[in-house]
Amino acid sequence: MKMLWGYLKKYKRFIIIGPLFKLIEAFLELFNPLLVAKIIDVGVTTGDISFIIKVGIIILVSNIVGFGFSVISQKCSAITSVGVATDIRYDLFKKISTFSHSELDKFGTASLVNRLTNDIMQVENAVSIVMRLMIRVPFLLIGAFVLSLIINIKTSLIFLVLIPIMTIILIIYMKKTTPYFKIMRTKLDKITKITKENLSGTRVIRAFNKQSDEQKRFEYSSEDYTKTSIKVSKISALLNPLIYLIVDAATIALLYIAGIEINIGGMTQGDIIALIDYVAIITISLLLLSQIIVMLVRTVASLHRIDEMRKTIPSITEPVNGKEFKRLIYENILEFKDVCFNYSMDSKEKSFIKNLSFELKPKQTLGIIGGTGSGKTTIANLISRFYDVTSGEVLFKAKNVKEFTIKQLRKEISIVQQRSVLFSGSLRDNMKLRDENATDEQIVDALKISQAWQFVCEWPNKLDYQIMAGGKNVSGGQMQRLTIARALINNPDLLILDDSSSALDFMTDSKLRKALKSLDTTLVLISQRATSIKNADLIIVLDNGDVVGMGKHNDLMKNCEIYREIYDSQAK
Amino acid sequence: MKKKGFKQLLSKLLPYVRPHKMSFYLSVVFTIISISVNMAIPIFSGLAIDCMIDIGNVNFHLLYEYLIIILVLTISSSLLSWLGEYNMNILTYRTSQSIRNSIYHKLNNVPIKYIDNNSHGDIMNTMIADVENVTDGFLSGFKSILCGIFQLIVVMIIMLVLKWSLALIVIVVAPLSLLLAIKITKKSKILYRQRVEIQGDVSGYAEEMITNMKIIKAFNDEENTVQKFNVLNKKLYGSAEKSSYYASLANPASRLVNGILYGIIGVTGAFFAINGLRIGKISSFLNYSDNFTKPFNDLTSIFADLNIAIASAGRVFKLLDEQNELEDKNLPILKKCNGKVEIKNVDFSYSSSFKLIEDFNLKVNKGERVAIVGPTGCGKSTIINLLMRFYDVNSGSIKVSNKDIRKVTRASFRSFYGMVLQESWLYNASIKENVAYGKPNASMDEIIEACKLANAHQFIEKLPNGYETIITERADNISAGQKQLLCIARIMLLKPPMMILDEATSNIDTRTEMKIQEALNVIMEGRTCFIVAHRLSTIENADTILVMNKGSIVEQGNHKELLEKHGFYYDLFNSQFGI
Repeated sequence: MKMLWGYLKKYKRFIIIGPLFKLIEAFLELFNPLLVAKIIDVGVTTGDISFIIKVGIIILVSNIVGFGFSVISQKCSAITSVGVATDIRYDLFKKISTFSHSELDKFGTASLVNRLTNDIMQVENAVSIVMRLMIRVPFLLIGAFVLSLIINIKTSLIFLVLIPIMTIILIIYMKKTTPYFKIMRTKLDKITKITKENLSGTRVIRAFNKQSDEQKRFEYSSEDYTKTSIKVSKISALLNPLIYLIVDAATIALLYIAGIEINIGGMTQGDIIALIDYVAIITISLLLLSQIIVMLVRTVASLHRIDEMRKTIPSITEPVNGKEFKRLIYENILEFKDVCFNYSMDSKEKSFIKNLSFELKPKQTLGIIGGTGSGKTTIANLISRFYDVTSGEVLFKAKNVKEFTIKQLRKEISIVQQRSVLFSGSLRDNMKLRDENATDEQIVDALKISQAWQFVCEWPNKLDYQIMAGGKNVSGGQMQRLTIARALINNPDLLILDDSSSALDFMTDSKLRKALKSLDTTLVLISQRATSIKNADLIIVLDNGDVVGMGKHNDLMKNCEIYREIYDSQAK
Repeated sequence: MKKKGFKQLLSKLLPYVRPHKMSFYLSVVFTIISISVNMAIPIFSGLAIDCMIDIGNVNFHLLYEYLIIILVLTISSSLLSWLGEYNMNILTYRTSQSIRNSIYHKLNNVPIKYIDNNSHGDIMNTMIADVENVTDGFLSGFKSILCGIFQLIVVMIIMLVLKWSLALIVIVVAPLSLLLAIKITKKSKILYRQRVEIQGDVSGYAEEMITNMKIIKAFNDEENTVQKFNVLNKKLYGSAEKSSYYASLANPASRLVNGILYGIIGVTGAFFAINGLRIGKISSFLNYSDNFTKPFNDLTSIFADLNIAIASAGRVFKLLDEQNELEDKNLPILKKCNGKVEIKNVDFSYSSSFKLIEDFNLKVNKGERVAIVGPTGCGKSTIINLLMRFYDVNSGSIKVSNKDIRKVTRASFRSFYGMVLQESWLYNASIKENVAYGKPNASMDEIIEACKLANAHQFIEKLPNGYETIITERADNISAGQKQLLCIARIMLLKPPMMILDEATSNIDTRTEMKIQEALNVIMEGRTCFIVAHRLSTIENADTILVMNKGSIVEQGNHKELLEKHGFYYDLFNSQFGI
């Protein structure tokens, strides 16, 4: 809430004018019934035609003036609600761009996108509704009540009964239906799930000739959902008729008391007409109020989700007074010193990577191999400082990676991540990600090294080829070669390929490795294929975070059982 | 043009509504009676007001009579309106159910090509959201319009009877609010469409960038990305503010018309009252004018829903109108299978512009093994698609047990194949049910036996619920390798004479992989096998090797022959196994 206030401040003027004008409109609206009552009681009884016309003109003018105020007020709320949403959206996106990997992983893409779109939309709607209705509705409610009190105290007692009864009915209704709606939701999810299974398993289903059984399974779920829905609708369809019933009951009570009152001279016929109108105003207001409350409850949840993101502090921070290092002198380009790493902050938990130490000289190749989830990518992420070590040191060019500005580090270390993709836009734009000023010549060179030039040449407009979002119009193997080319621009000192050639056939893969070897770059190759890393100067074998072997291929074949298993299972 | 399309959609929707038409009739009848009853109430409340003229001049006897009538009317009207709404809900839910069942049936009968070529997310969206939009928009919309028109007529008649001159004023002024509403809606619809479009751009950009934030960070490109986002975001502000403002004008506008109408009735009513019109009648009129404008005001939201419904209906019926696979009910059933497969002069491609497989010939005898090798993405699954007749050949023929597979029912020849694919498909049920998928009446002993043969029994026993363990949607209670073992067990239970197998690759940890290989060796024993092969031993022992590249078969023969050829296979083999 506090956070929302911060955003609203900017729109102070509109926030004051908007509801204020709404209030004026509501005020004028409330007087309509009173004016008509006056026409009837004064005008009709005295037969004063000019009075009737005068009051009639007042009604007309007050409605037009009210409309004018309302139009301005609507503009104010549109500016405020959309403005606030736009500001929050920008801030959130900017915030996301500062997140390091651990925050990105913690939230997950779907959740981040959801917050950026749906949650902000929810806030926008809420701000708009609150500005439009939150002042107006309670005012109408109270105003109608007060005016009815002025007309006749005894009849206004009816409202005192009406309001609590309506409130109780609304609360009971919500309490009764909410759990049912939840049940409906899960049953609908089941339908979704079965459909999803059918789509992904269509070959298996048809191979086993199970179409009719699947149909039965689906229809059973479908019937289950429909039955529940119909049962729920029995209750949910009750709300509107019930409310109208109560309003009519209130009108009956009103007429009953009015009869007694008029008989003793406590009120007039015109008063009844006004009071009947106030009953309607009060009912509509209560209904709106209940809707607003439901909406606000939902919005609070959205605000919490947005705030949670805003308050998240990125775990990777720039060094204090960080400067760019020039001309570093070093023997090892990369060194791990007793590195431990743990994904969770809980220090009691066992480390995932335990006491890893190794050294790598310039232009050497490091190979890292192991099954899925064995920690290969984690090591890559520690080198490029997407995560910070829990203990120990990662040294790049003999300096702790934490001492580098992130900019310099990422410029000198280039990484091709697992399942890396190109962005929507031209191939050339994609290739310029590391250096905006890269020439076509440089780009073509990089494409040649990554074994991509051959197929790019076959494309109609080569470097101007438009890549679709997520790279839907290039194959997996092409994508991998293009992302490698992108990382080669500007000659990085250290290049990390994280399982980036898995979709390539063995022939292309070996050509690629040969071409990379001809560069002046130090290589870190991460792979599940033994053949890919076989010739590396140093191979690290990982199994569930443990280093189970380190050395060259021949030594590992002799000493490391897991390496041998992997190699044999792939080669034989 | 637009009208014709609308009519067409309606005529397509009708068959799904027809079985539940009783609910529709009931709903309309109940609602119409409820409206009639409800519309009578202002008459009696007006009469009641006229019972109380002045001090000492109140006809209590008549007043109470009227109040009791009002009470009876309101109770019956509420009850009827509830019944109308309830029946309407039955209609929409039942119609949705019918449509969903048909969609599901359709999904099981379209050519696999359709499922391969369309986004699963879109299909699911049609199944859930679009169906709901259609029934909500068309059925509820239709009812609202029907009842709205009825209410207009009833109110008009009552008003004309009460005081025709006053009625004419209402009838002329009230539609003004409709005109205003239409004008505002039209303008705001255009603005809204623009907004949705820009919003799509913003979300699309955000999604792409957030998904790949790790890549952006690796390239130091955060600032640039935020800048681009800012440009889009500002564009969205301009459009959203306008659209939001226009849409919000509808309510004040209709309030304005109502307020003016209220005043006009009050003033003219007063003139008539001076000349003897009863005050109660003015009250009734005020009430009726409200009821008269209401259907006009509702129209705006009905049109909006209807527009959404038309778009959704287009998607729903596009899916339902998809061509089914060729009918095979009247074809003979393949009763026996000797395990022989013969592929003759087969041409095949997914699209006419790209030729893939040309003049493919292959004879496989019982118990022989065919290994399919080639670089990743070379189109190995095409062979599976053809063998199982997931896709039809363009020309030539595939024969199983000397019968063309297009001349027997799909079900009958497919049942002689056992298929274990790399992507193990299990469904949301117990392990027991999943293993018995192809043979639902299998005994527990048979199931356990199959699992033992498939090397799966051991790990199943270790699970807390054993064979009753439910495979969850994400199937995170068992590993990928274990899933594959279950798929093997599923085939073990059937012991078909022919197999189609996908050998495990390095995505699975080495120990499970060995278990899978062991199980596969058992299952292959004595059967005709087509194997997407990665292992040297499988390839070397195959009777025929199909070497594939870029979707087509480039070489064919046994290991020795192919090596001697010094062709593509030779290169592939050397680079993979480093000999």
